Amino acid sequence: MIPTFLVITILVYFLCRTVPGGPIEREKERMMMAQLEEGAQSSGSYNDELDKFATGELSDEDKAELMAQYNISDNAWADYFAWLGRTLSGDLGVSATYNEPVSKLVINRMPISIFYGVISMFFIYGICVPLGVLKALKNESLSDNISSFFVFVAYAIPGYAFGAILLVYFAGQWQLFPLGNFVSDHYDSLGFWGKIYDLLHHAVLPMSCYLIGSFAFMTMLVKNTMLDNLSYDYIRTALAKGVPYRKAVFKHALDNSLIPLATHFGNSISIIIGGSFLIETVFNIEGFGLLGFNSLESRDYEVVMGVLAISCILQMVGNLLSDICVAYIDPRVKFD
Amino acid sequence: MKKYLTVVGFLFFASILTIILLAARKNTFLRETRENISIADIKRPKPFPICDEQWPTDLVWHNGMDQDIFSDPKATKGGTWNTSLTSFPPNFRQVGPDSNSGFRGAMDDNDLGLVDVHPVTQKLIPALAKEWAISKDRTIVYFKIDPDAKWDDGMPVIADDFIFRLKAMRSPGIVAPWYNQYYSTMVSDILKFDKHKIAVKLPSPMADTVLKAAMRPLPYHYYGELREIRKKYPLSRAISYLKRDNKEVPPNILKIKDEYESSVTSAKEGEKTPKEPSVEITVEDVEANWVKNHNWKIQPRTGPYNISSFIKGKEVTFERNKNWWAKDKKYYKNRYNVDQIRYTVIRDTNLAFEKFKLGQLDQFALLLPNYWHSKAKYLDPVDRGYMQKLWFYTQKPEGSSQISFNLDHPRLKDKNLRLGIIYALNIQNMLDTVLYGDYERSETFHEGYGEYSHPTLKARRFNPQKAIEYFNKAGYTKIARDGVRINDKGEILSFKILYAAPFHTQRILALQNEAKKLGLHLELDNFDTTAVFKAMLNKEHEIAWHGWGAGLRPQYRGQFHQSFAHKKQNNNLSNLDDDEVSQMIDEYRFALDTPTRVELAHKIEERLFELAPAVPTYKVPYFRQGLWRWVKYPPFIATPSNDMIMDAYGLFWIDVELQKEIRAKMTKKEIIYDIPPLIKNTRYKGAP
Repeated sequence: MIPTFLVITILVYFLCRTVPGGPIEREKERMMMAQLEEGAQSSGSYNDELDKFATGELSDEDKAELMAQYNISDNAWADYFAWLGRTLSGDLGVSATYNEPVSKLVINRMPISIFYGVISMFFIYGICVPLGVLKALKNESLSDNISSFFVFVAYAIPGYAFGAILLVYFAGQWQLFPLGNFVSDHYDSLGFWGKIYDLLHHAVLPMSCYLIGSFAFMTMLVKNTMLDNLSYDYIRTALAKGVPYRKAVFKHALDNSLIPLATHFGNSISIIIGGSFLIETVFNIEGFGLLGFNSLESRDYEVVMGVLAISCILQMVGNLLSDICVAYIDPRVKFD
Repeated sequence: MKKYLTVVGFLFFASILTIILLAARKNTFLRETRENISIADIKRPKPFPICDEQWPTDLVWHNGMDQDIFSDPKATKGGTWNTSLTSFPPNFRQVGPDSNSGFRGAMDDNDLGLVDVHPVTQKLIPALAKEWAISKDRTIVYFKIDPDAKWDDGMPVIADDFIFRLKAMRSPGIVAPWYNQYYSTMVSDILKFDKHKIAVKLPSPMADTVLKAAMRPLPYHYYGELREIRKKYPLSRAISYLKRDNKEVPPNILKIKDEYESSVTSAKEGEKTPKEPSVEITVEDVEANWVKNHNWKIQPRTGPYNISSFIKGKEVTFERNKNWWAKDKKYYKNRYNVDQIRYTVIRDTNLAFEKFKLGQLDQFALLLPNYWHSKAKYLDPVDRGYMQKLWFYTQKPEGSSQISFNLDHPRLKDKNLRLGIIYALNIQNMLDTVLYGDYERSETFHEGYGEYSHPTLKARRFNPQKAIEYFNKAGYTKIARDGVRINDKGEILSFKILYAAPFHTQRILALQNEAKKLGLHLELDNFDTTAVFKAMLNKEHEIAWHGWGAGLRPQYRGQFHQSFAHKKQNNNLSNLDDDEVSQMIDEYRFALDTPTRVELAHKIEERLFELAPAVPTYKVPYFRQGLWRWVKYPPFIATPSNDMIMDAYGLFWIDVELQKEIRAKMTKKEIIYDIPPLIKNTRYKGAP
């Protein structure tokens, strides 16, 4: 686990440092652009003398000051280890664009991600498993084929594109749902039930986008393992021994079909955290994914690294959770 | 089965719990409001000393009161203007790291300067200054500050606020090297004669003297006194800063200077010149950690609006100052009418457009041809008479879109080749097809600058015969099997055209198609904006597709002066190195009277046309937007300087009653017939 964490963070850290457009470069860019836009700021209207500064050269002192501002030095390795030290002691640094502690930014966005994560997991597990079982039992029937058709069509549409379509029709044209956002602007003035209604009303469209992709994967996984299990000897034995078909399917076959699902349970946690930056952008939802995406775009290294570190840790916790789930579902695996 | 149900049950309860916890949360959005401080609690910092000089008595005073008003007396106050931002500002500072967001303009617009420019006549009109006068040698501008002028916390605007701005902008604590340099060299000093009388000293005589001296103040009482710190600077800068602060250069620094100078002169040719030493000097500075402390603070302003509350990442609300000091002044009356301006963050343009169609946003810019001609061609609210589309031609300096050739490229050095390429670019065809004929062809590099723009010069048009003629002259006489021209050395006539905006691809493809017919291959080269910008400034491009913003007067030096040629990191993207142009640019910069400057500007344009280091492409001399009906504007619609109906001039207003009426009609889907769905105003179209 620890080497994985180190390798990932080192890779991303150095990638961040080498891509163009970091804070120092932005300041240079600003010096360059200055001549064309600063006029209005400085003196009512303009100044054509300004261009004498438009050389884009920062003096060493200016550069040092800016670098100190952004916690950067010439030695990238030293910076990395400084970052690692700070992170391990619980300090994720300060966002260069928002000028707020990264941990605060992350914590503020957690409830939104957890909301979408938990509910989408409930729907995925609550719907996909019965659907998969049903499809396995009625393999190659009309209902199986029709549901497969829809599941795969949904799988083929990217969540964010689906979101745009939903917004245009369900929110714009027919006005059944709100146009994006996590909750409405007057949310705080609503009562308890009003708030719940508002939350859910806003969540329908984005939730559909979160779900469509995972749906096909989960349903087909359940169906295929179920089909495998149904053809195994132990089911035949059970049936031969007079176990009712229902019991054979739901007790024996289903429990065994859930094992591959359980190994995936932990990975689903990354959905909770990662969210989807594109869906969040389309629906204007200030979640974890959007934070990561915006920070990447604005080259806000502290946030990129902070988000990455947390994702890494959560992914690892997820793996651990998967193992626990497998142990819970699979009687062959036991903790000693 | 049991285990599965347990897991699903667990997830179900987790979902319910999350929903309940979210619903139980108070102040969900973490709304922050501006803190109110009463005048009595404000501590007045120590005033700056009055200067020793005498207030001259022989000055000719101007007050700009002879211009026409440009607002509508029918305007009514009230309502909220809803608009959107694509991202939340990284902070509310106007200087320092990451302060240069698009949102800064919204704050800048509410900081008045000493004088303003009349949007129609371009003459000076009073703002914070009531009167102004220029010294005979044109290096000092005297201002009488309007005694009525107040910050929105109630404190009067006084001379100290201007001096404080100068000192604060020179201080290292704001971490803004550009401002440090600018305010150290462009303004020599500000003299205080009394509370309301100041003089701004410029380093040398300049054209447009008053505008150059017309600073904005910074509230001294709000930021407090400056402190002195020791700071290291490179030797020459340290000395210039000491001179700037009217301090004597200490002997130890003089000694270091002498040593450094002698070591430079004694350094042998070929040897590396010694590095300039750094020395420590005492400078004035703003409070410690100024940048961090002022990220989200809301400073008092002199303008009509100021931020009243905000939700980080989500929205910012500006509120009108009901007791604004200038609300009854001649040029400010009947302007800035809405009570609140609400900026909501909407990252996706399509989402913003949908919100506009529902009336959640009051206006939407329809400048891009694909919006005007396709997405917004038929709009339900327009058909029902709730909304209007407006196309207004303006007359103001245009941003300069151009195609620059890198003259340091071994082949592009050849003028014949450049001319061939220029004649092979069918820009008109691109404008007519991809841009629906909306954008107009730019004839020169500076359009819309009034008399400064060249009145007769015409850019070279697409001309196949001439293109072929020049390609032949440049040696590209043969045509290879793929249809691309080739010279005797076997070099093919193919160049990379570097550009940043992905939506420009179509435009360049249109040029590429036409050029190919003449044997010129243009290869499209596109990365993300930052990378493209870096490549252009490092002069790594062959041909650059780019644009510059507009100022009040044409600016040539950065783009075309030879002192920037063959060097990285500057704006001379074509590496133009021409003595004649550079000499004229220098004359232009230091010329004082307008006719000379105008004549020089024309001559420079002519010479640039002749040299063809770049070719101007198009301009967009208008604004277009969709407006809900409740947004009202003066009968003349807008001034030639407007950016939109809703902009810094604040001429529009919102008819609150009509807004209610229309919203009621919207639910019943009633149709109103009494306004034209589209207004196209061409009063200011074409050259003035």
